[in-house]
Amino acid sequence: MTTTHASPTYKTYWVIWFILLALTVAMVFVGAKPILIGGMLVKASLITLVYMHLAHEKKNLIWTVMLGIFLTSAVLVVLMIPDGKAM
Amino acid sequence: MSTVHTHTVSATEAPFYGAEWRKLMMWLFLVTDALLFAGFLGGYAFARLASDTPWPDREAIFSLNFITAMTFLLITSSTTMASAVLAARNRDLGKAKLLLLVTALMGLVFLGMQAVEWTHFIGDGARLDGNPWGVPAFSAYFFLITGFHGTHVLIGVLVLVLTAARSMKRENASEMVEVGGLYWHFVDLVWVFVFGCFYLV
Repeated sequence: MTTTHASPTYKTYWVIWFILLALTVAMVFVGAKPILIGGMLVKASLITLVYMHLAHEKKNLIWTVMLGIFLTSAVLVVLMIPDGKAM
Repeated sequence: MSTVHTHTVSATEAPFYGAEWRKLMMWLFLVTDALLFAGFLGGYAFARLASDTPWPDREAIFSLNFITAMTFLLITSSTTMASAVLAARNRDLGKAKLLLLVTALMGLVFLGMQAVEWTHFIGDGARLDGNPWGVPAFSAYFFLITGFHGTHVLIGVLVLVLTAARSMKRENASEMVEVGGLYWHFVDLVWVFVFGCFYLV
């Protein structure tokens, strides 16, 4: 129930909106792969942590949600990308 | 919330205390749904890396400005959705309802734009099993991934309209808006990766 973060306000959401739009524009103009992948991860984090309030949830919920996704993504990247390159 | 909890020892506290069961279930569903899209995008990355012929130049095939406008629209709809959740939590239900409907409207416009995009792509000769650019997997993955995403948007629009129409007088209106909102943000979240992986990388 108690959160260490300040509760988001409407203003918080519009600030995040602006950051998301700016990141999108930056990604369209800068085609470098690391920037694109980094940009996607930052955008995804902002949406889950702020818009979906994951930053304000209990630790149990955060771990339940994130752990499986991170492990599966890691397996997909580690096992499939090198195989694809080797083909 | 209930006074019982203040007297029980911590060992008996529910592990997700503070998260209502609807919200917890929605989160668990979203995890499985995220894995579905992770599989699609993983398969897409594999097909692209393993392709003998060079991957088609997306900028020559799609209008990147149009796709970026679609992205802007979805991000903005996510912002109005987050505002709707906040309004509902403040018991400002009229405002919440209005924001829900505005969000749903943006979802509909997004779907319309996606339909325009598909019409162009199909008109150029793209099919599920082949296309004029020499890499059949390219159009196959396009239809698979954007089709699944578009279906999610359509379901999201229905969820938002139903929530606005039916849940606002319920005692737990704010919870219903929040759960619907989680689904909508997820649709935006998936688009971040679809947009990045399919059109930009």
